[in-house]
Amino acid sequence: MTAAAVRRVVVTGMGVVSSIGIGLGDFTEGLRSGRIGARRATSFDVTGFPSELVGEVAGFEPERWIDDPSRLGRASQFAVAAAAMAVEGVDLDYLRARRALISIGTTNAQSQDVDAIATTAVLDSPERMDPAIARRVTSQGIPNDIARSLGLSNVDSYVIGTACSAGNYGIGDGVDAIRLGEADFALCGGADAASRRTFAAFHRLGLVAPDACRPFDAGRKGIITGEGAGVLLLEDLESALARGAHIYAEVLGYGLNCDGVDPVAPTRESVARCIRLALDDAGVKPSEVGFISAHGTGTKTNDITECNAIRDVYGDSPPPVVALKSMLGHAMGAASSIAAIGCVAAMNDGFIPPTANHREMDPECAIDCVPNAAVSAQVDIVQNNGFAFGGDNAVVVLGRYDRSSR
Amino acid sequence: MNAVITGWSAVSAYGFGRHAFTEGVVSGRATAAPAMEGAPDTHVCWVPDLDPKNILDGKGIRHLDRASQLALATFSELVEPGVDTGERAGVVLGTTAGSHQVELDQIRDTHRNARPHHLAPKQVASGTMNCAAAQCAIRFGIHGPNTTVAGGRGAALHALGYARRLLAMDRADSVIVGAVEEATFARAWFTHAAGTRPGQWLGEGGAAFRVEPSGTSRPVLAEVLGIGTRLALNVREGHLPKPQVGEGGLHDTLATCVREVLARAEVSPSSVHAVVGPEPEGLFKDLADVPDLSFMGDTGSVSSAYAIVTALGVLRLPGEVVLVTSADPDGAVACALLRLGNSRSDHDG
Repeated sequence: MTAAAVRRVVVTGMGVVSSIGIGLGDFTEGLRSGRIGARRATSFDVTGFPSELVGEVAGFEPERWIDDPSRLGRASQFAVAAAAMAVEGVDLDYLRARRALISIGTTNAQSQDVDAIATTAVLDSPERMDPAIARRVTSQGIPNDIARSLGLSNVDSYVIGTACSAGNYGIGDGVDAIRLGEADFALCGGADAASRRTFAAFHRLGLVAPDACRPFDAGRKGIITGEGAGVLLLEDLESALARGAHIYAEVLGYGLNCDGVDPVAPTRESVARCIRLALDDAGVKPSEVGFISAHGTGTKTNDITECNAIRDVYGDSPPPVVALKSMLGHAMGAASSIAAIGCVAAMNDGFIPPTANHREMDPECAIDCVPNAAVSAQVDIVQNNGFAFGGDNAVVVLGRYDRSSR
Repeated sequence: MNAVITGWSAVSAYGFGRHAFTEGVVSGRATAAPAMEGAPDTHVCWVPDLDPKNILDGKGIRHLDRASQLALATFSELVEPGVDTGERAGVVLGTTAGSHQVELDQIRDTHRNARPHHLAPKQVASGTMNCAAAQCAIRFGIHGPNTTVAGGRGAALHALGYARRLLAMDRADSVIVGAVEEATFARAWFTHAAGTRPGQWLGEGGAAFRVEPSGTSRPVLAEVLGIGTRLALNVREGHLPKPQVGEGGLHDTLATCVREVLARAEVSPSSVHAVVGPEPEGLFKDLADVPDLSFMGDTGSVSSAYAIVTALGVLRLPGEVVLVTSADPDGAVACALLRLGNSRSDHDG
């Protein structure tokens, strides 16, 4: 079965909770202006760590979207809020009468809840763990909370736990479910909450930048850990047209594969193969892609490997390659879904987002990273990369719905 | 395209491999053994003699979380080089939450060590949920789609649905689907505090099965006739679990889910010969006896994988239709309708 033989999948809603903006408008303005989300962490104690900057979500008022936010962990709050934004304006009875896939990617799921009861267990006694928190540490609670908040029972609802590319996995999952007619609509993407343990783990690996995330920069020192959620409402083109939905973009295709080589370091050949799988699935030629939203973590290894893999596919003159993590921090399992939303917003608003904090291009990367300031551009098709520890790669290709070449 | 299952393996409280699983499940032997120190219960249904030295070549296994070790042990009996390896072979592995033990150990390290980020270095890679699936890819050379599905008790059924889509979209030629779950101090306490395994010992293990498009040259153990999922919306009120009966409860939602799958597959309830897992009340008559899998304890996400391999390897109902079900305390219900093949699957005997 080829993509051409199956239903076309369009984006008809987008919700985002991020360190640079909450809601599509605020987030898009953040991207366009090169806003930096890194700030001193407040949601966990950073005393004693070598750095204290986190791409933390600030000014989040969960009660705007959730009746009783205290019932939900922080990652669930982000996910439920983002899902509520994605379905804003859609008749809930319409959704409840249809079959849904809710596929949410995450690295650390209910990380702060796990940290909380684990801390009680090791510093106090496991007998004093909060039962309410213990009940909600199962990862599946995140998509289930989305379904419950919207009153959706006719769902397949689960988490994709494929670490830092999980958001793209979620989007791809939704695409296939709709193409095959297994779901009428999908709420998919990713969610993660920054946590003490995650912060410690990336510090232990020596991958955290002390001051700023500088992808592709000769002086880059690593990531800024982050958090947030990006949830997309996907449905097939015909149903979207029939209900008069606003169509933000088309998901043209995706690809996924596994390096199967190293638990941590990415592999150039495998990443290149994943890009080719995605472009083939989308029926897109490299020359049609207007910019690439890179995984772009700002670590030594990732950025060189990724740029080389891009050149393997695109040749020596690839389109601009931008790293939204320079602004957002690394929102883990949410990262690639937030970036996908950023790609759509940028296409629709006619700009290419910048790579912030940039000073000097690493000659081993040698790409146009759109340093520090967004540029105006008419872009029809974008490639969005996501890679993970374990070698789990997923690349999503998005297109403007009203592009000329469809 | 219909998906078919052409192989399976299991690591369980009854031991390693298909034969041990089949023999143990049929025997209905208790498996509980003394729990780990400081556990909330006196007993745990361990996988006996899980020794990193005996998994693959033994190298680097000791540092992995127990769930990843169980995954590698489970895959060892199933993976056929050339069939389950390379760029066109995939892995879809279910879990509840990866390794809570690694998370708890790391949190302890952040509080007890000189600096909060001084975590045990070799444990860091085990700190993400996809460690087990990724280790399987690395150790066996499986370079196609590699997805970790976190889905509670029904994880293997959600994973089967996901894998079926991968095959339907031609993203892989074969996919190993399964689930792993570890019995650890952390999981024992987390589930104890949550109250989600009343009266059950903690269990652990792994089970996996190969899913391919129909038309494969390998003998078919079962054809997947349908998969269904739903979410019960009425299982939580605030922080408290509600009774699981009535509209919107787990039982009613499972019954709805099963009726939908039967209708889509055009299979009448009277054609279903056995149900492995929670049985929807009043829907079926004259079902075949199914062994009680609860002697292996609460195996979490693996319970649905064990249910599937029980249908494949333990039930002796060639050509008949079997329903596999699951119901998770958080509300997710799932089922798969299988038509068993005429092949015997315990070919290692």
